[in-house]
Amino acid sequence: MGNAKDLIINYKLLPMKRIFHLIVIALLSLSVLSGCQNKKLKALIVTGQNNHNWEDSHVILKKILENSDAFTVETSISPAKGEDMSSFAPDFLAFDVVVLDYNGDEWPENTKKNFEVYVKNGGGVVVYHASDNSFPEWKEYNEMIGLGGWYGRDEKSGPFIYYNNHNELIRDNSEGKAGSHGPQHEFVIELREPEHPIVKGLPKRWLHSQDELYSNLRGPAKNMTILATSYADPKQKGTGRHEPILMTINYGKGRIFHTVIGHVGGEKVHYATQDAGFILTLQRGAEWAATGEVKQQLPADLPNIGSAFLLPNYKFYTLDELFNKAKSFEYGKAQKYLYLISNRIREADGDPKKLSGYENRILSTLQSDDATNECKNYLCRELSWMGSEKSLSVLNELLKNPETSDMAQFAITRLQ
Amino acid sequence: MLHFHWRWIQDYSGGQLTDWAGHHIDIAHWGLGFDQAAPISIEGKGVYPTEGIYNVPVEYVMEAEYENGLKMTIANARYFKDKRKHGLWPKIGAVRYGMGPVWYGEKGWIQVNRSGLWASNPELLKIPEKDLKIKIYHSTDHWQNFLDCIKTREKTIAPAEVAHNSISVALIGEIAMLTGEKLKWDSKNELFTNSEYANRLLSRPFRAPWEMPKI
Repeated sequence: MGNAKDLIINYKLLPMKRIFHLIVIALLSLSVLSGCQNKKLKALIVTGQNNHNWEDSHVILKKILENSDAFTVETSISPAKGEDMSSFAPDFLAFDVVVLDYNGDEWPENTKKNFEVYVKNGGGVVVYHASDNSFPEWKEYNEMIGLGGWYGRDEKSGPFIYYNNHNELIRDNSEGKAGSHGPQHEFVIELREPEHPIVKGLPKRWLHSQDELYSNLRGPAKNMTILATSYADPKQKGTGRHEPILMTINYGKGRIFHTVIGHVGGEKVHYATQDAGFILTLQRGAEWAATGEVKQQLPADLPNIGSAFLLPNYKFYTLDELFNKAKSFEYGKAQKYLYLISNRIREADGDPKKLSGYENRILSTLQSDDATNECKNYLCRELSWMGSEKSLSVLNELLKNPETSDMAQFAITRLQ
Repeated sequence: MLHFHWRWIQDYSGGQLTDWAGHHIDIAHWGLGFDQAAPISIEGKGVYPTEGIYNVPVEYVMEAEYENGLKMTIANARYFKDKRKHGLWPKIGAVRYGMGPVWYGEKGWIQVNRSGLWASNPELLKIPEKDLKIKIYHSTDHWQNFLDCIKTREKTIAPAEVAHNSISVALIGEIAMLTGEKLKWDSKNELFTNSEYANRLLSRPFRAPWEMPKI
């Protein structure tokens, strides 16, 4: 920008030409600027071996990161278990964040060294679920992940770390194997660092979908911050402790985001990775790991304590999508999209301008041929309290259809 | 489903809030001498599930203000636990014993629920009844009380008008959570004075030919 200014000041051309050149320089500067703002962070998913279903999980992780609009994503798939690993050398330094979906054979020495250099010099890492089982012997890796489990880890790996029932952070050096979990179940995730950029703005507690609740993790846990924990209920074969679920670790200049949730196995529907809280924290955690900041905006619909919020397309909904999906509502099917719309209307806090916007969309849906009567009846209910005069003509039309006349009259009576 | 779980559906009930508010607000009012007193303003926020069919708030907090300046906070128990944890419930003690009203005064606090009676200073609970400044209505059996009052023509311990006043706080709170506004309440005329949205939610239009009978 400084150079462009110098050019303009020193130019001695005729006014017309000068103006032309000014415009060209201004346009060039603009495009460079907007290019900078649109440049996405580069993410690399490392996968290829796992005691979980990596064939499905790495595809899901790629979708989730791409759906945030903050990343371009490449994948590095290692040779299969037992095969020659000597050529496995991803170019870590070319990326802003490396997402680990790998546990299996040891990496070649050079690859390990390159990874250490990458992280030490400011590279970002996301440790996803069973990737914290990997490499129990690789000292630097275990420092990076903070806590790990299984594969022979025990008191020599470091202390158990957890919160007790009095909100005290415990470092427990007692003997014992690292890593366990009870049967899959839904559990509440509770924030411990609500101001951290990765989780800022999220509710303090939300219900996570059915998943494995990793417990008894052990590790050096140096420069580690626990962002969120979950109570591992003894009724679900849990430890009775508040186990770490989301963590950040600083290693050299590098930043690591460690998420223990998101199990992907042989189930038909991968509900754990569809969980809105998993998706949101993965997207934001990856950006934080890459840059130290989170610029992504929070979506309008957030995970909540009322029910485990699932996103089957690994993407948050726009208001248009909610209305479109709500159109096909029938009794017996999920009311989810209508409930999400009602949530958004509630969040408007009675602001007439915002409510008018929702009213317009509701009226548009009430007039469309491909919306079911059940959908229209639900929306009439909503309209009955937050609607206005402009709804009356559309509601009068609905009186003509015996399937919608009751709810249309309901709304008309309230609005008059 | 039929006997119990209907109450988690907004068409039929306000959920846990209206389930219990009738009881706890009733006692809270009784302790304050508020049998006829109602809030002048109320606001609240709730968390509503979005999956499944249940759609009443699973967590909620509301603040009601009364004419004499008293503020009543009604919330699910977790709300107070969290406030205490984050140091946002200073000076005025903490809710330790599950559900129930907690009255805060100059000398401390008292809490009561179906499990017991507690106070910040146990001495507060030892004042003999004859030394209290107010007369307590005695009834240990609602059914007997009802039958007795038929004979004596006295008011029962919990007359219908008082019950109406108690549950109304929860119902206007429920409306405040739905519209998201801070509502001003005119209890004499049973109308909100600052929100057309909220007024619409005060009743449900009957489907013809049903109508509210005029008494």
